[in-house]
Amino acid sequence: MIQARGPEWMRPGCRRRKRIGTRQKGGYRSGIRISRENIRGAFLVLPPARGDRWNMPQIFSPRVSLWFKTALIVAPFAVVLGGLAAYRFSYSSYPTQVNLPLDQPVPFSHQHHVGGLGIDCQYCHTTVTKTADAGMPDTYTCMTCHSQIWTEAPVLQPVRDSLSSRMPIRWTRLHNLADYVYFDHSIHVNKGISCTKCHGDVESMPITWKKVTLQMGWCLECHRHPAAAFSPPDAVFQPPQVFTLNWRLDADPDAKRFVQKQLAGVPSVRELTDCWTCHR
Amino acid sequence: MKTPPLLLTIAVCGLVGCRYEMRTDSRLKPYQETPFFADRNSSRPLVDGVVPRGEARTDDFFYTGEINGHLVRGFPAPVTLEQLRKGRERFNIYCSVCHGITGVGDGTIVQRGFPAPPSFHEQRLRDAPEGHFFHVITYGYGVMYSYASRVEPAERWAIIAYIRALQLARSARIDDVPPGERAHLAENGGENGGQ
Ligand code: HEC
Ligand code: HEC
Ligand code: HEC
Ligand code: HEC
Ligand code: HEC
Ligand code: HEC
Repeated sequence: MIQARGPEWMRPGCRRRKRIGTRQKGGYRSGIRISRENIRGAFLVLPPARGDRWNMPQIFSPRVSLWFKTALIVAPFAVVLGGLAAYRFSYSSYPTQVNLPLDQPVPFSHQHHVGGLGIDCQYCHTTVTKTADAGMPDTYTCMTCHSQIWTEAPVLQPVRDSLSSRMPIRWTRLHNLADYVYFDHSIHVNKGISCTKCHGDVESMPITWKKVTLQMGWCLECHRHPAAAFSPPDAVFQPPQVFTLNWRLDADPDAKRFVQKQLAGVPSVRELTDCWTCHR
Repeated sequence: MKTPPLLLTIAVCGLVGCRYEMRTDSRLKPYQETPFFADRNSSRPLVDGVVPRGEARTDDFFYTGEINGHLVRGFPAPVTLEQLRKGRERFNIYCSVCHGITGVGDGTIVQRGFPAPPSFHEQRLRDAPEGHFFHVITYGYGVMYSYASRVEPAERWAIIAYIRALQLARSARIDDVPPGERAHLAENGGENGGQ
């Protein structure tokens, strides 16, 4: 047999389960029984179940001003709303600089060079398939063409100055991951993830801007569903053409087989979303 | 009324935490600016005489395209299909903008006013030794700049092999194609898009 101990409400079979309140000599005073009826009563502002007592002590002394009371009630709402606003703000274009063209020393146009002239991304971003860094074109690269073309153009003056003074052009950086994140272009690009997937339609940007937030959630979104990431083998460096737009995983058996093949070498989703994959 | 000063203290401590020390640590990323050097450039040129790991240039044929001052003929190693594919890829990236996809010298940049390069199908260039092409890519030629910093030696040889293939394709007749492959050729227009 179970030995009945403790206060009455803890004993087995007792209808009253728990009380809160100040413990006093004569038992519990000003206690509220936590029961389903009472919770409903408290939240739906229904009258409490019969037989319960609601003699709560006064919280504020009459001297506390009305302002303070209102402030105390409003404060939690303000905290929640402020938190929500901060959360929304952190994803907006102001702190992440998404879709925001930044000032550049030379108004370089990807639309002109890639879309118009058909220069491959790797002509300028040489190391994108070889190293973690995509690589930026040196002044000499610009001058392979601009030693002959637009040689007098004032917009290209900084490029010519850079060549003669041997000081690099200082482009304004758009993408800049925090230093505690490890990212590698070569692994993504060699696997068949096209530049467009992460940088948007660069080939139609007259001045470059950033298309994605580069927040952790963005990386993880893809690392959780790597199958959707791959582009057809020919389209990694090219702007999406009609045939790639029609490239549907489910519809095209070739596409399916290609993705299957690519996925075969990809680590599991668990590994891809493991913290040390990106924070090493 | 003890709480407000306490809350204030916590809030101020929290603000102190809002520094960017972990976003930008003292490690320099590629191309990052640094006040440490006079030219503010964190990427440093190699000190004279340094040999990067795995790049000891002992093989004159492979790294210079000349032996005892004479331009070489032939390739450092037999050309493979894999190498031709690589060559096509690299040629289309670095050379086709001026020399055109087929090498006749009608690339998009030339159409915008760049001096036209000679066609690769000229007799002079068909007869030129492979070492000449290696030299042109490495050191530039006339108004054409050097591609040495962007095209590694192995890639240069792959590109040269591909240029040779282009030259061959120009003069090839249907009889040169093995009979078994002709139907395939008619069907696909060749892997290069019918060159
Ligand atoms: C003719 C040379 C050239 C070509 C070709 C080129 N780029 Fe660029 N790219 C640049 C230069 C110069 C900058 C720096 C100025 C700027 O941000 O606009 C740049 C900047 C960028 C940036 C922003 C880098 C940053 O964080 O500041 C991205 C992304 C980019 N390029 C992607 C591409 C892609 C994708 C392609 C191919 C579709 C491509 N580029 C082709 C020269 C080139
Ligand atoms: C492969 C050749 C090539 C390279 C490399 C190249 N350009 Fe150009 N660029 C051109 C051509 C051709 C034009 C003129 C386009 C036209 O006339 O339609 C041009 C035009 C321009 C213009 C003015 C036209 C405009 O509205 O964009 C700027 C500015 C420019 N380039 C900057 C650069 C910079 C900076 C680089 C180095 C990162 C660079 N270019 C590398 C071929 C090149
Ligand atoms: C998986 C997504 C992804 C793909 C695919 C991708 N990039 Fe990037 N790219 C990034 C991220 C993330 C950064 C920022 C890296 C940093 O700040 O360290 C970046 C930065 C860059 C930069 C700025 C310089 C640098 O390396 O930091 C250039 C230029 C660039 N990318 C070009 C390209 C080109 C060209 C391609 C296609 C061949 C490409 N990227 C494909 C995600 C991607
Ligand atoms: C569009 C899809 C996509 C996006 C976006 C993406 N990744 Fe990946 N990432 C992949 C795939 C697929 C792999 C697996 C490649 C493999 O190992 O075969 C991968 C692999 C990696 C690896 C592992 C490389 C290795 O050596 O094991 C790292 C690190 C990584 N990604 C970092 C990032 C970071 C950081 C971001 C965000 C800035 C990011 N990735 C955004 C698709 C993506
Ligand atoms: C796919 C790559 C990737 C993986 C996996 C990943 N992170 Fe991140 N993490 C990032 C990127 C990108 C950022 C944002 C950097 C920036 O804001 O520039 C980030 C930022 C953070 C931050 C700083 C706060 C913030 O949001 O900016 C913390 C903390 C963090 N990660 C913890 C983790 C933990 C814990 C895990 C494992 C559960 C993890 N990360 C896994 C890519 C990754
Ligand atoms: C910016 C345009 C441009 C690009 C890109 C370019 N070339 Fe040239 N190339 C020229 C011009 C112009 C000439 C003619 C130079 C002269 O006669 O002054 C030339 C000449 C040549 C010649 C002939 C030399 C001779 O004996 O007459 C060869 C071979 C050659 N280029 C190979 C290449 C290869 C290989 C690449 C790719 C790695 C390449 N070129 C990229 C413009 C270019």
